[in-house]
Amino acid sequence: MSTPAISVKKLYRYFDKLKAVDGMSFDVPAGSVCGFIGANGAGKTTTMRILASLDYPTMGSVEICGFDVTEDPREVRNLIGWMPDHFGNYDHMTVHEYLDFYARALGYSGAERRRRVQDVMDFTDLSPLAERLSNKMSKGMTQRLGLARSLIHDPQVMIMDEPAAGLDPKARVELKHLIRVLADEGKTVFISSHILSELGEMCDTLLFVNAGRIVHHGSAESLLHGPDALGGTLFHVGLIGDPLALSDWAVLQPNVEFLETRKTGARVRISSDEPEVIAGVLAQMLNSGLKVTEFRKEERNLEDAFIDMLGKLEGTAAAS
Amino acid sequence: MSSPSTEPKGVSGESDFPDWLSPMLVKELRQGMRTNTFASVFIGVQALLTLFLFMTFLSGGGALTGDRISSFILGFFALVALIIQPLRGLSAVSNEVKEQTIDLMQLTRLNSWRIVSGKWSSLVIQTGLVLTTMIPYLVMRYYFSGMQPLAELSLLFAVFVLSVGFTGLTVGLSATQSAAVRGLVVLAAMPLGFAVIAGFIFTTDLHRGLLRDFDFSSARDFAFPGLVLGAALYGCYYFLELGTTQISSLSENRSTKKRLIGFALILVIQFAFLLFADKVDQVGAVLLSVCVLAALGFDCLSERAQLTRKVSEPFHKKGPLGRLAGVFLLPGWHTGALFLTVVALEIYFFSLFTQPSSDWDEMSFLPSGVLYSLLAPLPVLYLFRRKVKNRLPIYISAQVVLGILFTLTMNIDTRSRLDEVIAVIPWGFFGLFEYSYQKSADASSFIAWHWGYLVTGLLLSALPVLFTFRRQSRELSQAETGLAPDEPTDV
Repeated sequence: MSTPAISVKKLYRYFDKLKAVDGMSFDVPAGSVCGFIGANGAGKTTTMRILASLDYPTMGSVEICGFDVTEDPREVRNLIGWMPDHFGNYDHMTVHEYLDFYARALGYSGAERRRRVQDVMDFTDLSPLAERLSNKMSKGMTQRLGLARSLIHDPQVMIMDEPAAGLDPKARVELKHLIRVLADEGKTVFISSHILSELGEMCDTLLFVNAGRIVHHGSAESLLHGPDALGGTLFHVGLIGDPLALSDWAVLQPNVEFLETRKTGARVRISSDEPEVIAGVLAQMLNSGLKVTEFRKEERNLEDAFIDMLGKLEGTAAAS
Repeated sequence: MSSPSTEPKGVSGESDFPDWLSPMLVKELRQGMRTNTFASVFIGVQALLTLFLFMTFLSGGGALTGDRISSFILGFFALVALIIQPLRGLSAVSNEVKEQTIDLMQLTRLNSWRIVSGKWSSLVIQTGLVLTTMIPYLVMRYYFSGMQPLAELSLLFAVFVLSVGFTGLTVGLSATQSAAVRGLVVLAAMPLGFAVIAGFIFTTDLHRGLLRDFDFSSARDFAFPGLVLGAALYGCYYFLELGTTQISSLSENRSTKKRLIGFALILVIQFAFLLFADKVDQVGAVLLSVCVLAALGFDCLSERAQLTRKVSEPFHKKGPLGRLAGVFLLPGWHTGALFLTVVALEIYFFSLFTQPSSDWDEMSFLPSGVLYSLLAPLPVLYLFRRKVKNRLPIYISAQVVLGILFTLTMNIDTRSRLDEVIAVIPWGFFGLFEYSYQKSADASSFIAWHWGYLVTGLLLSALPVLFTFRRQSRELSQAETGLAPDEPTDV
């Protein structure tokens, strides 16, 4: 069996009494794209920093392509490309000088250094901006610069912490495309994001963390339809007037859950797949005096699965 | 990304620095020389010196005017070299940490030392550039007669060397992340710096006095410049290492080399004084050794105490002697406390065997007093051992509090002061000099108190190290059979 690109065993990271990472174990096979999902404070960034050899575990081991991050950080650093959620740029330095500095720092010289800098600028479409000051660029361009920097040494494993955070839709699509190209080239990509639908499209597996623990590891499909899925049928209900009226009505119904308000109505879950039950609920809704303009059945998406899972975990915690 | 590519299209700036230059130096020079501070200082100093020389030419010549020019040139260079350039280093590393760019750099082949020293060397090169621009003014000053070329050039060079040391201090401390520590440096250094510079610019007395120290007319004249050079170079190395330790990863062992270099310096100082025993007073050797001990103490006692197997493995592999060396030389404040004790004992015995009996009382409590004062915050360090990653600010804060306590005690009228209290207060041994002169009393009770505290403190510090070391040794033998865990251990 081949060595996994990332292997985490019984990883713990405490900050005084706070358990940021609480006994995680998982493997990411070489050449796969793994999405790392979790609410703010779930332990994603801490885990990713440990993977990148920038932080150290309180206990447990982390290996990148067989090298331990604590004992062999040099080897690990040759193998990974790290893209943090936020990083500062340097004053008085152009895009080309910025990349040239990192290429020098990675040990490249002469024509080899120039070739690598040019390659990553071409790959990220930064060549036309080579002479622009690196701290005078948009967020999207800055993220591209970060990606270019992390690719200079052609790493085998990319660790990307919220790379799309703060990007406009166009920049997000462009970044997603670049990540897809990297995955097609056979790189292992370990990526966290809050935009779950994007992760679902891009990733072979998803790791769902909560309070420093892994609560799901599998494909997007298994997360959507696995044992944690609450089931039922989702509906968009078009309304005239205040959508909270629907919320008040739903509270009184045993098999209807109000999920969210929307501009033109609200989203609800009917806790059954049976056509008879669904028909009955919708009829009651129409007869209740609510000014319903439309019903639209919706597919369950990753956000729903995420919320379901959080709800289930909170329920379990409250019960115990 | 791995696809072949043609030779890149031309981009300006790609061959402005040769490959053999350190990447950090290239980066810092690119950035530093474009900053408004450097440009304004560079142009401003030239403009002021030109204006000053022009006015001096208009007002006639003479040796006194020549002295004024020399003093003025030195004053302006000192302003740049001792104040402006070192101050620029105060945020050098902290900015990188704040902006999270330090992480990105540490993922390259730049180790912590290269990052910190690269920042420092760039500032030093810029100061050197300013120094070279002073040469035309010195050539012009030569025509005003009365110039001592060797002494004046040596003095300028000495200021440059001091600047190298001060820049090392600020760049090193900038890695601490503590604004309070950095602010303290500014508060302490600025008034002194400005007083010296004002002394150069507005009078010629200070300049003349220093010229006498740098005219090298006899062998003894080498002592003061030698001391300045030695202190600046070791100080620079020391502070750069201090900063490097703050940002280095757990798998880097910076402590062993630092401690051995410090100890070697003490031995060199003592050897040099023994060599010239007929010419110089041995008290100087003890005082200088104690200064290095104090510097080592600040560093050792503010170190993190996590040990990784990678760091301790080389010691374990060298057998019982290696393991014994590890107890004193491995990173961490526990081992640091043990190491400091060995150094203090060495200084103690040196002073015991080399001082004339009349000087013995004062010198004998100096090593124990310094060590006692350095180790006084051990309980505070122990209290915060798990909560705080960066111990330097806590250690420095504890020492500042102790310093204030000492100052308050020393201001109490000597008649009503309890002399026994002096020995209990850290840094109170300074008061013991006065005590021993005034009362001709035996200082042995103070020494006994110091060593009593130290032995207790050190035993308590040493126990966790010894336990951890024993456990790691067991893990290492397990590792050889593939069973070892890899986690770092907080001792």
